[in-house]
Amino acid sequence: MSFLSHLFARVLPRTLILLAATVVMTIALVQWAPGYWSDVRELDAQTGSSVREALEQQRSNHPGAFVAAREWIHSALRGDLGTSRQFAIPVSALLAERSTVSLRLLVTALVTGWSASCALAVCLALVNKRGMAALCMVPAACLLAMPVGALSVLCFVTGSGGPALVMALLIGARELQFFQRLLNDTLREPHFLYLHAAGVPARRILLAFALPQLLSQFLALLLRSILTSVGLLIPVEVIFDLPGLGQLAWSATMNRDMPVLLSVTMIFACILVLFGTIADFRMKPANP
Amino acid sequence: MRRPDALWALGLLLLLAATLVARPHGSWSAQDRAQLLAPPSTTHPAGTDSLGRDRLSRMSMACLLSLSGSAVAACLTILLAVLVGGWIGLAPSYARAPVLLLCDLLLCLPLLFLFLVVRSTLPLNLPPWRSALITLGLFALLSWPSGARLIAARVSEARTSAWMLQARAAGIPATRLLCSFVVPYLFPLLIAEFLTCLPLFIIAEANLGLLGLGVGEPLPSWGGLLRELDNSAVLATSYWSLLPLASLMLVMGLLQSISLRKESA
Repeated sequence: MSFLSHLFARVLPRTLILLAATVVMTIALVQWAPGYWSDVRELDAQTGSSVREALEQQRSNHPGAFVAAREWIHSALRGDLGTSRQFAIPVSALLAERSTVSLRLLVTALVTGWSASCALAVCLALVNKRGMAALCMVPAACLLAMPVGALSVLCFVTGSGGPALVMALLIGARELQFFQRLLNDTLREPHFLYLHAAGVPARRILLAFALPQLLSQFLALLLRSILTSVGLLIPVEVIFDLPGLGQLAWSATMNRDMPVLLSVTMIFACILVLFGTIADFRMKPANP
Repeated sequence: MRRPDALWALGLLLLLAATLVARPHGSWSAQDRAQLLAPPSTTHPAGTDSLGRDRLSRMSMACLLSLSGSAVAACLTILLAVLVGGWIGLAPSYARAPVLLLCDLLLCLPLLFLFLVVRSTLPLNLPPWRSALITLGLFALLSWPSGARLIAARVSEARTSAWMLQARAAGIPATRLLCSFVVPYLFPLLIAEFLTCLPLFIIAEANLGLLGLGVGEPLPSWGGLLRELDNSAVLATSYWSLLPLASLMLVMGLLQSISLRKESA
């Protein structure tokens, strides 16, 4: 089956079904959550019985999860994502503003984390000293043993780093372990050992032969790295009070802001499905 | 560190935590209002928190609770993964499709985001033990799909393997086939899955606790104790507030070394 026919026959229908199911699941979850049906007017003692009855009637007329999902998808396809319950502005405007902040944070963190871990892994492979590798792996293991929230709180409270640094450190620590293992395994392959024995310098083996061979695996790792960093956005943005998508998702969840939560969930699901699918395609030639 | 050493160290750490909780001044909930944020003393070796509670006892209890709770949640995850993975691996394709869709549905969102959204939509004003059960139960209920997919692949591999065909041709009953051949065949995968889930749940609980969605007060958990770091005044006056973070990192390091050893074996 060719790439395009596989894409249109299997991947695309599966993705659309998944996204529709995600909308239904999110709506059902939020409608079921305590506090979703409450209205501030009910807390006011001066609210008359007629208003209370009207609110009760409005509640009973509310559509179920499937109908609400169908309505939301229909209006989303026309470009209308609804109005935020908590900010009282169109969700599309809110998303446009917040996604720029998150995108900038993601790109900065990914570029910094990846450059640092790539450079360190290549240096370690060139030096080829077990002690040096262990010395670099200990701080990486310590960073991975720390919850992202705790690292963010420590950096925030002590003023020793911003959100980009926290994310770059975590991404870098995680990828360093993968890179080092990947390079070690590759350099132990028979043809590289043969080149080494033939007196080809280590730097040339690494830069001219090993790294180009690993390019497709590096790309797959980069895609996985993007998926991981999307998950890190929420605690980092909440703790650093950064107005991005992560913080928006958090406040929408806590305030039962269904239109915003649905849109943010869709964005996260689309990113995961899209990059996950590309990563699967990229991994196939590397690992048949 | 070799795997048996790391296992022993983890066991000793748990024993130490249990001993510290059981000591005479080791109540994790008793408040000493005369000693708020007190420095280390003989009665409170790691000082007290902002409510005058013994920090060492609370940390020990958090270690016991988070580690044992996460271990139970990881076992439940594996049980669900085995059931669902077994079904996917053995059922006909029409019965497999909806289960696979459910797996994909849970996998198409970042796990931490999923935990946050689902936990925040559940009641938050619950008794502490119930909030702990809900938080850890949620981890088990939402984390099985990746394990189920691995187990399904392994089960379908076993179903079509030559040894299975031979065992069935020899007339071995299905129960014995399952207990004596299939379970030992899956066992290394289950151990690896357990060692993946355990640190994941510990870290997830800590992250949820830091955001106020974890185990409810006064029950101590790593997430709850790490919230103390949020107070810069406490952090500046007492470095003992970093003790829970240090203990969490120690446990995570031990778990990581156990996993690495298992992987290289």
